[in-house]
Amino acid sequence: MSFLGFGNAQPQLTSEQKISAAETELDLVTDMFNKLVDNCYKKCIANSYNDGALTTNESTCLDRCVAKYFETNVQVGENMQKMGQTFNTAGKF
Amino acid sequence: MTESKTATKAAASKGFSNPALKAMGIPTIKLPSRNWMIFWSVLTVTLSGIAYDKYEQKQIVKRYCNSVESKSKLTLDTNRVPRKITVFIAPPPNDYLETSLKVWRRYIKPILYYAGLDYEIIEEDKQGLIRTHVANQIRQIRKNYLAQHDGVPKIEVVKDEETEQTTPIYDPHPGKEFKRSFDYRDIIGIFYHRPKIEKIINTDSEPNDPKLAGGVICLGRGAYKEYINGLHEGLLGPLEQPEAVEDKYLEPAIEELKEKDTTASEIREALEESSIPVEEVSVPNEDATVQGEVKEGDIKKDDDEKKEEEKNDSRYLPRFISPEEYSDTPILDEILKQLPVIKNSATGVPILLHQPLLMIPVPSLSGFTTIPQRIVRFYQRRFYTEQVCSQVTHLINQDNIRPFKDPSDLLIGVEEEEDWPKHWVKQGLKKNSEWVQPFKSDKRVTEFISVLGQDYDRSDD
Repeated sequence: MSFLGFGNAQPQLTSEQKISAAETELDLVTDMFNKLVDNCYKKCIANSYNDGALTTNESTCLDRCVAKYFETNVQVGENMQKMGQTFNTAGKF
Repeated sequence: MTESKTATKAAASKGFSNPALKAMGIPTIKLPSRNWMIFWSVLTVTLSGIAYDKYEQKQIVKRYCNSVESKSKLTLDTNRVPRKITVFIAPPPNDYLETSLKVWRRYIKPILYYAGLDYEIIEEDKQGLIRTHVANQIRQIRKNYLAQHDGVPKIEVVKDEETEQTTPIYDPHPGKEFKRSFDYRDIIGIFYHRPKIEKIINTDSEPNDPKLAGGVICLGRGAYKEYINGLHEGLLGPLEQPEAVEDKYLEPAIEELKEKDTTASEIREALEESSIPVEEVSVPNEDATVQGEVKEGDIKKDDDEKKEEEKNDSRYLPRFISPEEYSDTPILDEILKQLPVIKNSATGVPILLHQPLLMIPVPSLSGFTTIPQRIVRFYQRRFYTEQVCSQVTHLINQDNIRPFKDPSDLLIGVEEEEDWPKHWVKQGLKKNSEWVQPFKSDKRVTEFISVLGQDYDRSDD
């Protein structure tokens, strides 16, 4: 969803396409968030529930887990995009 | 018949037996031959020494981890961030960064983890990166202070011709404003029931005494020197890079280039004057293989490009101020007004200058003639881990922090320099390497530094 200016390389989308693109993006982000919460919970939160509040260890673990998960997600997305582009250019021949 | 009888009797009598064992039916116990005995005893002694030492190291680390573990069980609110330790890691000379990283990973990191502390690592593989990083941080703080308090808004303005009002170009289009302030967390529903956390409180910003905030670990004598130099450079040096200084430190290498009738390997060596000579050692080998294929002209071109790259490498900047000029330069207003405690304006955390400093030497001998000494050290590593772990635990518990004693505290960890290979030091002096330059400090800067309790007062020696 970029602010399209003059001579932009991206394809011109109709408003319907923009809305559906926004919807898919929201789905992706929600999905990523849910998986993130699941995975980081399994990895970081201890099983013994002595106290409702998070301990320092769990907090730092969660910070790091979220940061790593997010970065990995972004990296994988970028790589997939690159792969998609090479496939597109290969398909044009 | 009698011969065989005497032979068997002789064989039987070589072993050990007694009536009790005979009664139980255990045969005579015979030791193997003298040579085998030597072999097995040497083998078991060496291996058991190694095994015992490694076992003890693990036990030591485990013991210290368990002693600090209770700190990690304390609760932390969701709007808080834990205490942060900054770790500067430099490789020992003529060696790889991996050597220092092993010390970090095996002995320091587990204890920091078990204590529930956050840490940030700044490592370097060439000389000068840590100094640049530290000095850049301090210069950035000075620039931020100047920008805030100068009264000159740096925001561009747009003049509306009809009403003649100036509005900042910060954001004319509502779409861009929306995009900038857009946050998925508002839509997904995380903050539907709970309020959104706007302000994150840093645990390090709370103590009134900055000695109790955060901590700095310098792993390696080179890291320590660069850290202290960086602090001085950031506080006393200019904000912008002076042109004269740049030439002073790079010229010797450039002159060397022009004077000699250089071969490709010597050019590469001169270019990497600021890097740890692990590359110096490996480069001649590389060039020996490459020389046959590539012409000298091409190599020179590549080296020029490399030099451009090195100059443009933003992680390294030559020193803005040399140690001789420390006493002449005044501390500027932007620092004086923020004293006694200079804080990072965004987080409220005192800058690294005020945080307690721990220096951990990394003993690393290299060479052929030192092999017996290295073997002895290898068997004594548990004493080193005990030392490292106890110091880190003191830093975590904040027990023995004391002010910096100028100039005797500059000698903290100087025993590591006895390990430095002499030819490396000589080469370093020729090429103006940072680590072998005279190490000086200025009292106006060091009065703010606090160190962990190792008392290095050498005046008694």
